[in-house]
Amino acid sequence: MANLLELQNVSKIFGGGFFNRSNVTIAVQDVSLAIPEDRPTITAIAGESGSGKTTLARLLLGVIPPTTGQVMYQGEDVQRMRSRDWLNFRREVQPIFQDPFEAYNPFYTVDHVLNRPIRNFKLAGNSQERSERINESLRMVGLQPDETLGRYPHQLSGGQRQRVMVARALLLRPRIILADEPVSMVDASLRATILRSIRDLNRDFGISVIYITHDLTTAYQMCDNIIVMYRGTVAEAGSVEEVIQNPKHPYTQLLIDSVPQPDPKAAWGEEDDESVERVDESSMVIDQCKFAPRCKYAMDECTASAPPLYALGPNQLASCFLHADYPTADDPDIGQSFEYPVFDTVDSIN
Amino acid sequence: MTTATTAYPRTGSSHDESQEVVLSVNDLHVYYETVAGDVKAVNGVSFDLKAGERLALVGESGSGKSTMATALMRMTRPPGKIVAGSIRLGERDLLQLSDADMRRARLAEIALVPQGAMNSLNPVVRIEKQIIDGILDHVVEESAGSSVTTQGSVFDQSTASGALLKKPTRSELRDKVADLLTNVGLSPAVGSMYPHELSGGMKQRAVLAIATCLSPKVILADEPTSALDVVVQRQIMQTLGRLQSGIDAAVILVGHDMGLVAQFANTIGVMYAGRLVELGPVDQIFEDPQHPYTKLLIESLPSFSQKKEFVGIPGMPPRLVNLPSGCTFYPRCPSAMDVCRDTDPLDIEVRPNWRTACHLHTEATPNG
Repeated sequence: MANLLELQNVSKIFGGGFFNRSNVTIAVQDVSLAIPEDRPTITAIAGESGSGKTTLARLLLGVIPPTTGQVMYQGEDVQRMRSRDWLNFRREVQPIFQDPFEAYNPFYTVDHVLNRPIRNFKLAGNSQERSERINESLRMVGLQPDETLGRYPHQLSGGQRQRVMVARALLLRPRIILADEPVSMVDASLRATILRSIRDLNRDFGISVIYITHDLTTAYQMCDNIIVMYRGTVAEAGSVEEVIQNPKHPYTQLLIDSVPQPDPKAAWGEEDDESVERVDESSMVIDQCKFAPRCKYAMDECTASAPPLYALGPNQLASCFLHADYPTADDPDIGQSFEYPVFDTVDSIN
Repeated sequence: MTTATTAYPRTGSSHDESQEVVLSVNDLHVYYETVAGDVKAVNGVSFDLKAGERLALVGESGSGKSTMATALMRMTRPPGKIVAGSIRLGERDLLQLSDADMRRARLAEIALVPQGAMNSLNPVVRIEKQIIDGILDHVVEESAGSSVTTQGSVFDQSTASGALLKKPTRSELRDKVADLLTNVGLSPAVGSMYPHELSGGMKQRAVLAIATCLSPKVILADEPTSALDVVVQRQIMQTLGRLQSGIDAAVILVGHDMGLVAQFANTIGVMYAGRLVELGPVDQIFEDPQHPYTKLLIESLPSFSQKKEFVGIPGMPPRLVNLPSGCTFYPRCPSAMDVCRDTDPLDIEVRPNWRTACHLHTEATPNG
């Protein structure tokens, strides 16, 4: 099976330099992940700030080169692409950014962000074709074209602006959408609408979605699979049902425990003042478990070497020595543990 | 809390019905004056807050919750203006105080944990100094403590307005800072550090130490954890809860994270278009919300319990300029009736300590 987008043992190291090799930050460490071509899926990449999730997104978009390893798109190294393939890659892999306020130039109407990509990629022969295409994608995200077009960004609400961004991504008929915290700046009542329009893109048009977030509840509601990152490493990965309902890595357990549930009767973890507020430098160390300084189960072996990914089941991987009696994952690709949804209908818009 | 000596004694210490009302907001109106007309950001809000109570004010952006928070501190800036209403804190109406008295009441009686508290510390001043600054600003110089018989800590003696009667000595201040820092879960050594040396969570703790240094009666926390990770968020909220029960203060938590509200608060006030549309006990409102807006808000929340379809609230909040008559939620409301279009719904007490402004409940006795 061909892979659409693939990370092969990718690491990204920031800082350092020729004279200062010690002061480096390992933002992403040895991550392999394949997004298959024929099974569209929604994958969450979750983690706290500093977990490397945004660096991973930028690597996937090809805007920064990996320090080691390769990012492949349809079998071709993204960093070595020739202009035509690169243009194609830039069309088929579309980002949706966090802040719908920053993404606009306030001097242009919102039409600008919709017209521009059509012109850049020469997607429409004439202006009628172009406006049909724009109207179509606006309707797909639940916006009325006549109420949206011709307005300036400040005349739209945050939710509408973010939906115009989804429409912009959709306009290009992408294969993959990379959404980096698309709803963190939007009100709770609008979040649902935006997430649903992103989810519909996957279900109705077979577009794969990578949803980068720190919010485990929306990740659970929206995604098929999840990768929990901690300081650049994969702590746990697998289907959301397994990872969220039955977390095996102490970090995932801590995270899920800490999420305040919108139910006054649900417990909200116990107080543990000590486990944080310590500046630890584990992001500079390669050969130990990065979570060990905060982990209540930390053992000697945790600081001696980095734990491999153990296969806890067909749809769950965790890199923690507590599970050393399980077999290690034979394939470094975390996508092997994913569960793929079965669709009733997939009509491609391509 | 070891230094938990209240600024002045209040009756009762248990968090029950009999608790004394510390803050009473009555028919508060805050408008922003614009060329298009007055933007009624807070439009007739009333509520009472008891000692030890944890009230959460929730609402979408533009619902007036932050305007409300600024008005409670009397820090509304032009073009904003407190047009009408009263904010009674203890015996006094904050809106009637002189600027100097108000300045003294801030921090000592009502303290703010600001939004984005991580950026509210002065980057070039040590934490210790930033805590002491607030304390020293509340010393009443002229009385100089001459008439006061000092027993125990200087922090036990204060006027009704929370001002200290005597300037604390250097060693008293040092002990106080160490106590405060320990209380918020920081090592006393943090006092001699600069903000950039601290993580986000530690900075937030330092801000909590400043906010509680004079044992205020009301702590106003405006989205105190919006920039923090969930693990740190939980710890900060638990620290805030611990500090609050230590000094028996009331907390007003302003925010939009319903999960946080469910876990932290015991009373919830839902704001919509400048009004408090529902106010009542958290556990009951989450179970059986009475206002359609609250209901939609709670239904739209994702949780781990079951996978469901995403439900949003259709439509947009109204613009607050030239509001038409009738219920402000009417255009988005799934159970809108004819009466909602023209008549403002009044506050109706649906159960004890639980009121909502919705025509669905008009049969019940109006609360005035």
